[in-house]
Amino acid sequence: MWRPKIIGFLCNWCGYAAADLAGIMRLKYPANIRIIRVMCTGRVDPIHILSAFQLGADGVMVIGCHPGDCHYMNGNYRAERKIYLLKKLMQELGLESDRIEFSWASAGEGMRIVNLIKNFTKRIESMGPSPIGRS
Amino acid sequence: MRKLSIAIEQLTTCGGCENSILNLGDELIVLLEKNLEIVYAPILMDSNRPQHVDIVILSGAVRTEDDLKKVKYWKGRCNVAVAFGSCACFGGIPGLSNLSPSNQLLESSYINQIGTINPAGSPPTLNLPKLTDFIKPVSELINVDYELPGCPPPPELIREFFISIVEGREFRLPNKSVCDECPLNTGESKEMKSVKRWPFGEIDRNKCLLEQGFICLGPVTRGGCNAQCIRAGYPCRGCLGPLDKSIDGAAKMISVIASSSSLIDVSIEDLGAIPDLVGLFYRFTLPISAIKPWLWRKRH
Repeated sequence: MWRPKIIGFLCNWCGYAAADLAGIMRLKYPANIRIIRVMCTGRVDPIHILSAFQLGADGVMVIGCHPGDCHYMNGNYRAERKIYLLKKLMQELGLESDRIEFSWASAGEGMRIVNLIKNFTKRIESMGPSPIGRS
Repeated sequence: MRKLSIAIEQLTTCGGCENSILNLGDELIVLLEKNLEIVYAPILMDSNRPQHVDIVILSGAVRTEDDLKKVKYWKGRCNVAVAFGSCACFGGIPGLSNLSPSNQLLESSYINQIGTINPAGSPPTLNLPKLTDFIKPVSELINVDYELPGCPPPPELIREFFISIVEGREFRLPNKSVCDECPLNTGESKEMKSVKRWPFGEIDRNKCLLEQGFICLGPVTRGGCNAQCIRAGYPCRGCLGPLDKSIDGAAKMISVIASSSSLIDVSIEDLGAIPDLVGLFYRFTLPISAIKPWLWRKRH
């Protein structure tokens, strides 16, 4: 059975901490997500996202701090812009930009990140395998 | 010393790359007297394709089955194959036609084009080679020893290439960006305070174009052209393609715009209002982009 592969770029200070908290709270979330910790979502380059797709990911999540909460002043705004432009480029090319999700979660929101991951996994499951997947 | 024989094979091309060779001027004459000999060049003279040459220069995109045959002909018949110009290296501007299937392309140019009178209502078939499904860079079709990108390749690079071939050295493309050569690059950090479209708005010829809000692809484009477009007041279009180790120039350019735009003066909607992102970022490089397989799968 096909199960979606999802890559999650989570920022060290909020997204990753929230996922950590979800673990401490013993909340369950789909094992489809492979979490990659980055220091800031501003570090995530569109190249990383495209590479993830090239290497067989079905969806990519980027989760950073809430607006105004970035540990590095404005990294999350930069990430928002990058992903917004990347999605727009993909829409112009007629590709499924919904396979990319950008969202916020603070270090205390274990429940929120679980919901985000659950909803995104459901969405990718309904979209089916990525057209450029390896398998 | 024996002269090196050169064949110039034209694929789907505008002829600009061949003209760029002529731009070498007197140096070309010196080279042709001493070291090089053009034995086959349809742009200059009619002749049969030779059985073997030392250097074959392939210019233009592989758009038709005819081009495909021409490229395949040189397999094993040359010592050095050169992809010459952006079309041969990355697909170039014709590469943007990968966005539509070939029957749609024929329809839009022979039937639906404004001003076209076509009583037959179908694209002509007589003596026309079939279009290929996709434009691919020449390097995917035969082994290419050197790539000389540019639209057209800058004469300095062509000169360096010929001289290094004659001297028996290996030719390397410069691996630095256009910004490295740009006279407007002061080396200070830059902030984009607005987003403008090129011919509109005042252009300050002494200030970085990106800083003024014009989308200039200099930061993500290979140098070697001496930033000639920017010196003429025109933003870089990215014709020399991405730098080594960069898998996708457009993704890098998105990164540049997102990181250099001012968070106060430029809203995310302003960035979204940039028209035709594909044509802007992938103007020359769509067939080698990271999302190329995605486009391919979408079609089949």
